[in-house]
Amino acid sequence: MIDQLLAYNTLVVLAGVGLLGASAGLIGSFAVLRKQSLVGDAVAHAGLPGVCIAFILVGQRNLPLMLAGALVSGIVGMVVLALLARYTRVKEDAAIGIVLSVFPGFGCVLMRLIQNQFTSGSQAGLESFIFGKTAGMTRGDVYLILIAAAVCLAAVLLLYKEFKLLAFDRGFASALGWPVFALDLFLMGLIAVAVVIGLPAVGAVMMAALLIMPAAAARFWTDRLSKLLWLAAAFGLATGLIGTMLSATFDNLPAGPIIVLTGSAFFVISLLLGIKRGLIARWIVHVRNRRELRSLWRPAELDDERQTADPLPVALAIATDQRETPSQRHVTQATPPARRSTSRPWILPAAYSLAALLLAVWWLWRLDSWRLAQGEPRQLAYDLGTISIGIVGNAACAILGCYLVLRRMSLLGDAISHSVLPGLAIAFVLTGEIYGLPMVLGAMALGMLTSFLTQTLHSLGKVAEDASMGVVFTTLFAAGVIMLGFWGRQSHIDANCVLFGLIEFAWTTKVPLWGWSVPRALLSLIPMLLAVVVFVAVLWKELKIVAFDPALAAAMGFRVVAVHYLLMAMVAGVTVSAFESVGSILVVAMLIVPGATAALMTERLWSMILWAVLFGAVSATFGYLGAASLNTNVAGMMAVVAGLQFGAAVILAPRTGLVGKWLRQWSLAVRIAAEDVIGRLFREEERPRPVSGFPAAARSLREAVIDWLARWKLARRGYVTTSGGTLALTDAGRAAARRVIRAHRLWESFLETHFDLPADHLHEPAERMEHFLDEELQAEIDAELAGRTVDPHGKEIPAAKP
Amino acid sequence: MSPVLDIHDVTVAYQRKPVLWDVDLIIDRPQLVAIVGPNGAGKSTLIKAALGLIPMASGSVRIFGQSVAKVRKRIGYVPQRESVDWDFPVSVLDVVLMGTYGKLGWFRRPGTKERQWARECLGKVGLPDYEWQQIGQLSGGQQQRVFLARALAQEADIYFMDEPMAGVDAATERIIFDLLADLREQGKTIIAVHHDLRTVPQYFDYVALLNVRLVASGPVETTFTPENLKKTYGGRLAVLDHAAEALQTGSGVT
Repeated sequence: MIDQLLAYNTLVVLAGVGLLGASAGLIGSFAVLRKQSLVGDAVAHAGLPGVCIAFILVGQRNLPLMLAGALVSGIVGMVVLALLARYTRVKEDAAIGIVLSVFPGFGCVLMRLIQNQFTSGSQAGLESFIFGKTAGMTRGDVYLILIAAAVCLAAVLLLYKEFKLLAFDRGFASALGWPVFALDLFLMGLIAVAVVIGLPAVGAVMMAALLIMPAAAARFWTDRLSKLLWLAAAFGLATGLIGTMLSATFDNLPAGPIIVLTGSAFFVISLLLGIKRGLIARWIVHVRNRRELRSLWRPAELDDERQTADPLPVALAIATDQRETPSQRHVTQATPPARRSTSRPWILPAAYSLAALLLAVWWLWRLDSWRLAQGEPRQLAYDLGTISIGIVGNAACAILGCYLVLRRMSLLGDAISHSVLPGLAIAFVLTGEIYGLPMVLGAMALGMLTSFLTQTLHSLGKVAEDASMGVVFTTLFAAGVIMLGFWGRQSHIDANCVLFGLIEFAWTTKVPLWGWSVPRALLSLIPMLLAVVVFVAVLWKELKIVAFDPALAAAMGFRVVAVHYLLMAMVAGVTVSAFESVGSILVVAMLIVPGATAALMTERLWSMILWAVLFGAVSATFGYLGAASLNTNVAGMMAVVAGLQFGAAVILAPRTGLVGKWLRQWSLAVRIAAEDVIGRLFREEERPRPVSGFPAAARSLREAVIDWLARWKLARRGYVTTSGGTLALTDAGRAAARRVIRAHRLWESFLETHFDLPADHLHEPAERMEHFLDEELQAEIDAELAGRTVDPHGKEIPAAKP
Repeated sequence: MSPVLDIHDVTVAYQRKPVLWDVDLIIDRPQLVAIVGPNGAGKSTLIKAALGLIPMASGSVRIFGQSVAKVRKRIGYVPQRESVDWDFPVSVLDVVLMGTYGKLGWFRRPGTKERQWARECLGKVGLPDYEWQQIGQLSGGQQQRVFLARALAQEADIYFMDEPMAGVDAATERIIFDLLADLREQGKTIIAVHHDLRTVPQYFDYVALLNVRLVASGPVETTFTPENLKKTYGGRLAVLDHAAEALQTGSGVT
């Protein structure tokens, strides 16, 4: 055994994985402290397509290039996260969930394409990016890791003070004038480097653990950042070394999961024994404090006394009264309901489904005739069957996903989809069954356990919520992989199938049922879908209020906790039912992406759910059709289609889409420019002086375009006439201009009456506001001003009607 | 001489709806300034906009007659206590030392000189024996004082403080105000968001009453009057709220 440990290969691997653990621990500390633990996880997953693209470009296994590819696509993933946060209302957890699932989905698609293209067994290297394969590590790999670790270490040493302040108090750093955004990016880049470099050795799924666990464990031992960094690096190193040695000693154990479990062991030991925040240390302090407090107890009245000590001055009493009951003058009339964007909310989804249906039929027809032309057998039944399996699975996931997205628990969905694995293994050992009810029950138990452990670690162990989730799900997942490795060998379950799913075989794998032969997948998915529908229908109001306002729900006597765990159980059940078809990584895409896309389309819960189901069905249909046409991975393609729909919604959604926003901005700018022109003409008519036409030349291309559009708009509406290069108002134009000027002068008078503004500060605000006061508001201000006819500059306020 | 702080026509909008609207505030000489107003009046927003932490829809801010970016080293900042994670693994002295970071420049670490200075600042806020404590172990009032010490360590000429008295007991309040009075004696300006109306006349020289718009500003004796307070706290004018909504929906007359 000693010989085995000292073998050259083992030494190389030890050095590599040790260094990997150390650098991940070091950099991961910042991720954990900034509550971005799971961003590292997202990056690890986002690296997959980059690896494949690099492989396609080079045509062979070249580790440095593939890692560079992973780094690039990992960073693209981060940029997507940043952009979604900046420009859309997608919440961070949903954004992470989307990157986490759509990118690997794309990776799966590419990977299969590569396997089709390069038959020379070269695909072997690619799978290791998901599971990790320490054994294949070469000296070159170790050097690469060494360089990455050195870069991380050097950056942390040089920018220690900057990273520290950035993590602790970003606002203060920003007030110091530091380029916080650039620093953010740099730190994120380092995280990406630390993650990517570890992909081939421990795999995407396990890399998150190496990033999170050492720092989370080290936090129990110290209250100082510098010590925490060293400790986390040391824990990471030790995790890597011990994990590798264990897996080398018992050579039927996969290295990745063993390394993760070693990290978990460090974490648990630290949780218990850590001298600063460990449970035992905190318990001792707690007991001692309680003893001291008993002798020192002071009643809390002191503070209350201070509150009521001196009587409030009369003025303040008025002020407070006012706050409670606004005086008559301020009572607002009921605000008019915001205008609905569409009067018929069903048109858009109906049109979308119809278009999708037509496209699907056409595509299927083309696929079929192409097959016939190739001399292949017809398989429409198979096509439709597989699509229907996909739709059923996607629908069930999408419905529950809406609640996950709304409750900002997308990542719990991701966590559960990984952590149900041990439940499957246990159910298999107990019943010998790998399908059906035992599996679902096992998964449900693990789903609830995941949520429970995450919550307990957070409240009891004072671990940040995201980090505790990361610790829990990676540990359970690793345990599940090992258990399946032990017990699942005789069964059909292998980790590969669980990860990627085999929807390709779902239609043909049939089981007898009452004399019929039914696809097994449907046998589990249809009851699951029904269960989900019943669950949502029965608990509609409970789920709604718990999602919207858990505190209120609790105050009203709803069983918030029970509803939460039920939801988690359902998520786990759906997840495991969908495993067989799409696998655990991509089930996240089915859970989160449709819900997140639907949230962009509508503001109503029921219509959000309908949209989500529609999006799920479309990704199932076109995922299959696309994959069948390209001959690639169906589940991955489904995730890609889901991602494409999400991207399209971000850009095109009617109310929230970027294009709509952009158009509204432009049309507003044009309207303002046009109103400024007629306003100027009106003033010139009011007080005649040499007509000047357009005053200042446009300063930028944008302004020039807006100017041009404004003139065009005015001419088209018949507001102005042009004669000899000068503009003149028409009657209609004069009426419009009068409304603008009226708004301007009313606002100036309003400001003067109610606010203490210097006279030269009235014009600018009114110049901005004149474009937004519609006639109703003008009447309101007019009433408020009680018949005032002259503005603060002595000019007449035009009447509403001449 | 240019005014200490010149906030000119500043508007900050969230999705085009103003949360701070055409605010004009000029502080022409060093003094203690209280920003007062009801919840949601935009008090913190005003401070953050002045410091350039959030983008302005319109307007400009000049400090000592120059753009904010040019005078960063003369500005001190005390953010709201809730804005940071008090579980963060740093000691009290570490936090105070952060005040010296601005003047240190890139890559350099604080040395003995900075440490000495940070200890001095801790002494000024009455926490000399706490330097090795983890910040989470302090009481709310002590945490507030640590933030104050950090601002002192910045050696600034103008300080922006976001609710420095929030959750502070009476004794601490005294300590903090004595300190602020000291700073004013040294010719520094303090702009503080303040919640406790009763203590405004006692401690501050100048007051800015804010409720999305600036309702009034001036010396406390003349401006902190029942009428102005009534205007500030008596609910916003319905017209203003409707106009803000109009800005958001983009309604118009042509």
